[in-house]
Amino acid sequence: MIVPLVVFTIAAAVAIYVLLPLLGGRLREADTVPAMPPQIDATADALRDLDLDWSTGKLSDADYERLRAQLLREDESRRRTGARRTGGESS
Amino acid sequence: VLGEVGRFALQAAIPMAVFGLIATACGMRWRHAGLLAAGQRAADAWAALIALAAGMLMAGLLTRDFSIRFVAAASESTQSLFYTAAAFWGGHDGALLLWAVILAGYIVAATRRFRGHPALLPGVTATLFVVAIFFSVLLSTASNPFTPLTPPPPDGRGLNPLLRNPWMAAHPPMLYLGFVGMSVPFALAVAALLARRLDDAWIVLARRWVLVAWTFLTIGLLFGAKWSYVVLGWGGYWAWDPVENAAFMPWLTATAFLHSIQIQERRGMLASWNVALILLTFGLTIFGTFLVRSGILSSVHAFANAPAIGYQFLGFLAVLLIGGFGLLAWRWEDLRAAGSPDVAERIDSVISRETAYLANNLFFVAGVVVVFLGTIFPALTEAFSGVRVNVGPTYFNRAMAPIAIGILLLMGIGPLLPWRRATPEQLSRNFAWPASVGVLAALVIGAAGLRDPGALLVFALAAFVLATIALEVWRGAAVRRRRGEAPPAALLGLLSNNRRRFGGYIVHFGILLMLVGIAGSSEYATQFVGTVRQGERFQAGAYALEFLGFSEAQQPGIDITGAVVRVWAGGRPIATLVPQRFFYRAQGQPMHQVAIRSTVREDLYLILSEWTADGRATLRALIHPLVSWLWSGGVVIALGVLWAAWPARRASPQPASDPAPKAAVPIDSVAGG
Repeated sequence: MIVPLVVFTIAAAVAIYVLLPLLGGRLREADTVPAMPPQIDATADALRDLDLDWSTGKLSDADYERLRAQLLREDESRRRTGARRTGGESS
Repeated sequence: VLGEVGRFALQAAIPMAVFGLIATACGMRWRHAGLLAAGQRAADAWAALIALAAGMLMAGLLTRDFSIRFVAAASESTQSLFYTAAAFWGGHDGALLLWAVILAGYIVAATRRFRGHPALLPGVTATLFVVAIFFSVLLSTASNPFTPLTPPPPDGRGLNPLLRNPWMAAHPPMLYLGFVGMSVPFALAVAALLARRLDDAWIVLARRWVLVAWTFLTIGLLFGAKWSYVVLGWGGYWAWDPVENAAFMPWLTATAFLHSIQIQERRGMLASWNVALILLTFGLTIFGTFLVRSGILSSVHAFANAPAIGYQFLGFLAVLLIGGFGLLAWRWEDLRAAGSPDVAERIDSVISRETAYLANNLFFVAGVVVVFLGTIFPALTEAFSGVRVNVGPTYFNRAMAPIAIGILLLMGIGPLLPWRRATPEQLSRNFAWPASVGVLAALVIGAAGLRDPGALLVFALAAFVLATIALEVWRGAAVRRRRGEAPPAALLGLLSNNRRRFGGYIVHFGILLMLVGIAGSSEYATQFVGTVRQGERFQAGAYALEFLGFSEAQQPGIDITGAVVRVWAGGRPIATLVPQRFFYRAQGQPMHQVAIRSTVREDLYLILSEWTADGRATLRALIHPLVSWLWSGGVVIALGVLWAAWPARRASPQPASDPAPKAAVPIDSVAGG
């Protein structure tokens, strides 16, 4: 007797927990707004790394400038893309 | 009750995972927030059901509920509490449940971690649900650990004695944390392909997950090697056994991935390659499980011979690979376009860090091909000719040695090369000192009498790589010292502000230790055998081994015979070792308990081979130089990963010395964003 009771209780609890988002609310479009991916940290990491290479003499000034500008340009491009997706440009 | 609740939980897990997949897929298709939320909750519920099943099985083991077939097969009343709990993964069905438990943990962690990334989250969740469905079905049908046993026997058969060792108790959880951990980056790659988010955002997210899984895999491999070393009594730690190889292959591809993503992050190249590597890595973890479960290859580790289950894994592997690589082909043009628009997919110079990383990837992939072919060769020959032909360790050692040496060389070269191109001046400035150290090391080691060319090359290259790491630290710290920082602060600041790079160097140092340990122990191992009576000695290299007599002991279910041996060196006693032979009464199975005296220089490894009624003991003594370096390397690697993965401070970094050139934009503009 105890097993069916335990099983029923678990099944009911799980079903309520899972179906709750579908029971109460109206149908609404999913929030498809993508958060900014962790590019900021990644770009900062890459720039920090580049600075270290340059300051220890592993990169020429010309390559350093070019790579640094490229990283910043890519970061800016990603941010613009992110802003377009979030509608940030109009706000 | 335990069995019934466990069975229910596993059966309920199937519809829950199916519902989660459908809800998530429909939520993605119709952009329906309620369905997506229900899918997320289904992930939690699936995890809870698997946890409930796991709890029931653990309770069954601890209460010795022999009405559950698995409990009766993997435990017995005299078994210690520790090994009774470890018996959870000591048998096929329980091991699969452990896989599901770990998957449940990763699903819960991933669905929470990626909540801030709604473009990728549904794809990740749906992909993980596909994996969850497979394991739920398997656990509810062919591999159900709650299959009842009627009538229950008075006692169980007990855990396989070979598995009653702390290293083996810890080996499967570590390995599975690595194997299953690869499912999250796999799911991220699939999600990125589905959502057409093919810039490097997904690899930035995946990197830490791969790093964590890679670390567990490394530790799992080392625990397995340690178990082999201390339990199997053959004196080695790696035999190129199919099951070892199965775990080694995803390690190789994951290592390649951890390097190649840097090219994508820095230069916008190899986007497709990185997706392929991670698909392959997870595919290889499933392939490895197929090898272990199917019984198509003989192995000391394979504890199941169930072709039907093996072929289910093979079918699942086919679904994963066809689905994954099909998606990759579908998005091929998007991936090509995902590279930075102003960076053509080309290498500016052969002498650049990009080239070093590319070569590194080629070596790792070559390693996978070598190991894969050698592993499946017996099955292939049997399929085509009816005769099983094993290639043996000689093939693996000969084929892998140049690959390992190539990787070792690149470990030194890569970090010293700049991105894009290196000038001759940079090369001479960067390599003169480390190359000199390598040559000097070769000369000194050669003069000391070590002449084996392979080992000599490994030691010299290790010295070269160590010198490159030291040079990197020295130069970086020197830049900070010039800014007025005290030496300790300069060092700490350098390591803390560049965690990823210097964490990587710490990992490289750990790999160095391991390679030196492998080279030393495999090339310079010596063996001595002596049959002695009480009070007699025999010489084993620099050691004299004096047999003091037998020791007898009993533990529940085990008879123990040991040989007490006093170890002499330089005319004085330095240790007493007791190699033992355990005899498990219920299983009728003997097992070695070797005795090891381990130092930085070498291991003295003692085995009680046999003994006679008239009091003679035959002892086998093996001397393995530098084995402890192998295990120390594992600890260093774990510390390196911890350092690299530790969250960095969000403070804006500044150029380490002079101000940036005029054209450079201050880094604050990004970091502060």
